[in-house]
Amino acid sequence: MAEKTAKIQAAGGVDDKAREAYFTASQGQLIWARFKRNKSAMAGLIVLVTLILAGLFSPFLTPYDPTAAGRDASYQNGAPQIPRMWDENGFSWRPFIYTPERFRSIKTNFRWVTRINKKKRRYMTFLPEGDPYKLFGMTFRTHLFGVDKGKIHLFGTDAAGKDIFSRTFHAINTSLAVGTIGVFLAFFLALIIGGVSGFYGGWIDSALQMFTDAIRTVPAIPLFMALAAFIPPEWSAEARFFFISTILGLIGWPTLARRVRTHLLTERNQEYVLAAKLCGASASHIIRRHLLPSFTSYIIVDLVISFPYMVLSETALSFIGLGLKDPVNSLGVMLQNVTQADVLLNYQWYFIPVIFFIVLVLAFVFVGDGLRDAADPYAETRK
Amino acid sequence: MGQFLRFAFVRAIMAVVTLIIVSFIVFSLMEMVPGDCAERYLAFKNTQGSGISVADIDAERERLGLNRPFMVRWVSWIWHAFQGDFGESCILRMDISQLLSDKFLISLGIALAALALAYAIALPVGIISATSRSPVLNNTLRLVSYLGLALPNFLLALMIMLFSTMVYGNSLTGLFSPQYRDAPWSWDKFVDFAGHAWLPIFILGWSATAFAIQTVRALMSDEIGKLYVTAARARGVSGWRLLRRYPARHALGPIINSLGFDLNRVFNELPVVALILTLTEAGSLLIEALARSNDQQLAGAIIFLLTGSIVALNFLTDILLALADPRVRHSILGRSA
Amino acid sequence: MSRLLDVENLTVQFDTDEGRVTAVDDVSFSLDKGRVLGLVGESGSGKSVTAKSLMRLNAGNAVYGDKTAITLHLDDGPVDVMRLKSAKEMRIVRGGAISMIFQEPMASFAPALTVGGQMVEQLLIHNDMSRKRAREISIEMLDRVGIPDPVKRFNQYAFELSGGMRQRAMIAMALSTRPKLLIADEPTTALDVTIQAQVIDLMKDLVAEFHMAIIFITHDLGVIAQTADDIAVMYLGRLVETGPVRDVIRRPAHPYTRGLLAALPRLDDPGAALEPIPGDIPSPLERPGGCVFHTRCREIIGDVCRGEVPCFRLVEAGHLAACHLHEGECAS
Repeated sequence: MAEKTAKIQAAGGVDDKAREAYFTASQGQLIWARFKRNKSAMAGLIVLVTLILAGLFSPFLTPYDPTAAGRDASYQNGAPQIPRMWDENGFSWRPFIYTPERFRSIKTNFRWVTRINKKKRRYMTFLPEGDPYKLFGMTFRTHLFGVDKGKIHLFGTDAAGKDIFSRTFHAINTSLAVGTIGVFLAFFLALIIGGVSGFYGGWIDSALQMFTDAIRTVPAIPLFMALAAFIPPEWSAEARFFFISTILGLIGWPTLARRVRTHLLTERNQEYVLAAKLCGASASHIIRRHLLPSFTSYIIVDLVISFPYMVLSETALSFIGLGLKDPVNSLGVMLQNVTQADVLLNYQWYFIPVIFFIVLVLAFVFVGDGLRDAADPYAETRK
Repeated sequence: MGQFLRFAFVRAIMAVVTLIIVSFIVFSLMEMVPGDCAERYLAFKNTQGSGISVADIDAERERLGLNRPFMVRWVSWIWHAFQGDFGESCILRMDISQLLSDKFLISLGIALAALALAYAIALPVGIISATSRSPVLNNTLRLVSYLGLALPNFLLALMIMLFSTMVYGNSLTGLFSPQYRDAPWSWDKFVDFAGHAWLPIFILGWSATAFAIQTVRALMSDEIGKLYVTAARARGVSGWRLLRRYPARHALGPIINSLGFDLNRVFNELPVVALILTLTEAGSLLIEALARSNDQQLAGAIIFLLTGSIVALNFLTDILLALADPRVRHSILGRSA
Repeated sequence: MSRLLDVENLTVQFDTDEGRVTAVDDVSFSLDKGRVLGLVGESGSGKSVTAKSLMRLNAGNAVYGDKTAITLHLDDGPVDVMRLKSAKEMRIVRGGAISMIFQEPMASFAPALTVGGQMVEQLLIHNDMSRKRAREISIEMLDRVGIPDPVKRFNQYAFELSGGMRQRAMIAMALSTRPKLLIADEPTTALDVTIQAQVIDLMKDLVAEFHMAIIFITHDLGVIAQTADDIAVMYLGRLVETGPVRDVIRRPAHPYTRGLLAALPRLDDPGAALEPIPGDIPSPLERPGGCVFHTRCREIIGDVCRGEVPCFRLVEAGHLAACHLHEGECAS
């Protein structure tokens, strides 16, 4: 609203500062102002930033090492342990959980069975020292919380005893990292190929377009499955990680390239480009100062929107077993064992990462949609 | 009519060229993989106890024609591929076309059925929602489309499995009941198939529907705002006739255009859903072929078939679009006489 | 009787995200059969909304005032346009007794349907005739408006016709149902000058032949001077001056009209500086109180202009202006 009133020289004096702010605002500031008004987009942004930060700081936020090194051998396939502050034995300021005990006897046919001992409490500790981890190149040992004896598993554990809570947040980080690399690679390729295609036009454009269309036609996941199956198992987890990200980027560029090319084709015939040429501007100057800013906003929106697809693709592939593998931890990897009937019947907490996954994707979608509406200067008149 | 045939011919040529380019890419990728069919097969035999030597590998290579130069092999492969002959599978030593035909047709059938379902729902819903001002309807639809996007098919399949296991104690897997699995096709088999296939069709259609609703709605909204719709209203055209002849008819173009890529998306999702639901059609066969046995021939053939169907669908939709929209005919062929 | 249309107290508001916006504020005018009324004003003055109200063609979020009454006097009897409910009832005014042509002829034809197809459709909606007859009438009309080879054009698509031909085809389509009133919304704005002249001549011929009334909406005073019998000047949703076209142009009584005329470049003094009306038209969200033009008026008297809405006062026979500068009784 402030912009609308600032826009017009109405007779009753309007705040001059606001008017000046509107007229001198940069493109980014205008987009941000419009974006802020969109409630669902802002909500999505908050959630997204929270999750990203949680992922980045996951080694600190979670109590244990997500790999086999941090597993709890005495509590495998364990149910989530919810901390409480009050039970029939009294109230406590410090949240606590119960001790699970494993025992076997003739009554259980000598199978290990876990029993919850309500009398033995384990109190939560805050900022304890635990498994070491690396963050920004430095090694730390402090985690956000822990428990005084044994381990605490807020989301339960898996078949090997690995803490699902820790794994979930590390997985968010991994999935986001893979997605980021893939997106930037795709973006880079799209800019070059789409840029050349759109700017020069003519036969270069036709040839590149046929090539791009051919790649776009191939269904990505089957193709990727074909490729990934041939990765030698000797490759390290990091190598696989980069390989997957690269493949995702290579698959993702055609759509973006097409957008860039279409936009350039229309823009380069506009009069302001002609005017610049007549002033003697070089091709690179025109591209940098005139054409690029005209579609930066579209590019950014496309980047944000393509993120969920990257994350989804990686998850799907890892889930099949052709993407990342242990010990590298992503949401897809965590879902690998979920289809077994055993899990479905008894260990439903394996599905908790799914909720985070859905929330993450939804957040991206909301933010992407909000950005798109905010970046389009005609969005309001289009209603 | 003559123009139209010329148009169809041009499009057909372009489709074939696309397929050739794709095959080249696929074939090259297969080639880049270390080790070839001969080595692999003999390594496989090796694990079964029979010893092999380098001479054996060379002989095998010679037999399979693998020592010919790249281009020759590619041309030979694609020449046969267009005739439906994909050669023999590396590991399984069976004719690939035989192996695949049944399963591929089932996959294609399921994929197309999912798309048909998606548009059968999306077209009326999208059209109605574009004209409605009701905030309830609009918000519900937004939610549905977001969910469709955020809850990918394989997750949906997982949740359905979880639900059915917890509630019913069994999971709805497989495409056929045991007695029909290898039987020849009959009406009963088809009924059995339909009874099982509805689930993958539903799951695949899920996100396709959400996507399609959004697309239809956006296109309709755009068209409704245009002057020719107001002009038609000003002439007294109203109601369903107005919607049908004016905005809907013109919004159809981009929708038809996108069908090829919708199929692409479905093919992307099919393998994983198939794995979850343990379906025995080309999708899961694809996984086994690729993941476990590293069978290049089989993989190449499957990808070629998948891409081929998409290219064919694109061709069909191009033709359909030219029939529906005179502007397309005009722009491709130039001014009419 | 010779009266065709009575518009009383037309008020149109739109419900938007920013609130209720007034587009047309208490506009009243009348039109006789066979007369051409020029509706003049800047963009945003409400002229299109006014015209569309006659056919109830405004968008779904339009809200009409309680006192608004639009009466169309047809041979069968008067039609209360505001009372029409269903789309079928509105067919009387839409494409039947009233036809409308638009500024962009390319944009007004549906791209994927033939010109002939759309013409026949309109005829069949409003008349009980055979398809063959409808086709005959349409081709006749195409010929009447001066389109060569009308049979060929009948089967073509809009994008295959040239700009001038499209505009003629649109006129042909609008007139095929023999409407009593033609609303022309900026029909010449998108055409170049020679075509403009042809189209205007055509319209004048048709008026004479069909005894049809025209509401000619434009911001081009030159075109109005040539074509219209009466003129109505609008500013920000209100009528400020009405009267016979010669009288208003020679002796403009409202400062806004005076400003519009003064802003025109002069043939007899090409070197003279242009004199625009100072300021910009205010946003419809912030309509000035009192006289709606007072914020830009050079002849503003004082507080009466700021506070009191001026009523129409008679300047000379048939010529009215809503301005405090003039004295006399308010015309009812």
